[in-house]
Amino acid sequence: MSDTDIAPPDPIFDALWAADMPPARDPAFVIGVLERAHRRTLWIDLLGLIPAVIALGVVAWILSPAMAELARALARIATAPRFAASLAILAVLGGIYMMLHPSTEFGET
Amino acid sequence: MSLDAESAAILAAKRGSNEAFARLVGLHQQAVRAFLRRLAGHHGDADDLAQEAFLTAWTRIGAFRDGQSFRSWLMGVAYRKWLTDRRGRTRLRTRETEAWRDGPKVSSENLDARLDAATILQALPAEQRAAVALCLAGGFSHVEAADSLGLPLGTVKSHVSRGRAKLLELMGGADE
Repeated sequence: MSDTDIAPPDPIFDALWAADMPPARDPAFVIGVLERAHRRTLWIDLLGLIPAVIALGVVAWILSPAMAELARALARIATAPRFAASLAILAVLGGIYMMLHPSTEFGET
Repeated sequence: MSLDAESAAILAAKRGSNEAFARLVGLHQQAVRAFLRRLAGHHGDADDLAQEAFLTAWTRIGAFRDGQSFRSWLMGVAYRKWLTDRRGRTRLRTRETEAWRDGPKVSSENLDARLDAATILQALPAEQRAAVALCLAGGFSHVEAADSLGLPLGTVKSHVSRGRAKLLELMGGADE
């Protein structure tokens, strides 16, 4: 027998090999592999986001004094009576518009 | 699946096609799982390892060379996965020992066939078991098995020959 030849089947071992033989077609196994692959990809993606999140945190920390100042200025505007009234009017107008022009009918998918 | 279709699926999987990779898994799952079941001796652990082996194969499919036998390459990935797992898991070794100690003996008439097969194969040393599983059970040539296991050709031949004799001895049969 040459090195590239395949050993002829040995009937004496047939029962031995048959005991470990999985089915020729097993969609559940294939799906299991794909699910694992997707889970792994998700984890890799999430881990890949960590540097971006850290960078964002550092930027936010650097800008925090300026952001605090901006927030205080916005708070002064937002709590002014005229601004609050304008927001309320806009909300009412927006509600009326959406009632007259619904994007989908109720129950429509 | 023909060889051309397999090559096309490998190429598509290299480009990131999930569908092509699923076709390859479907095509080779039986051989890889049978190989690992014979090595590990426990079907649940072996199937788990087989899934891991396919994942590793997918992430490293770029390293697969054209012209190489895909099934040999895949079995090599599975074999290395099993070796790594075996080193790290002492409980598997404990289970093998318990199966050997507590399980019914080979000569009994009413043996559970699966436990019987696992017990007999676990009696072979790891490399010998792998060579036997590929060449005698899996229909691999000695060259293919040597490629998969990363062993010299002569070593594989020796493992197969000695492994076969040992199996016959354990099964109570005489070598021809």
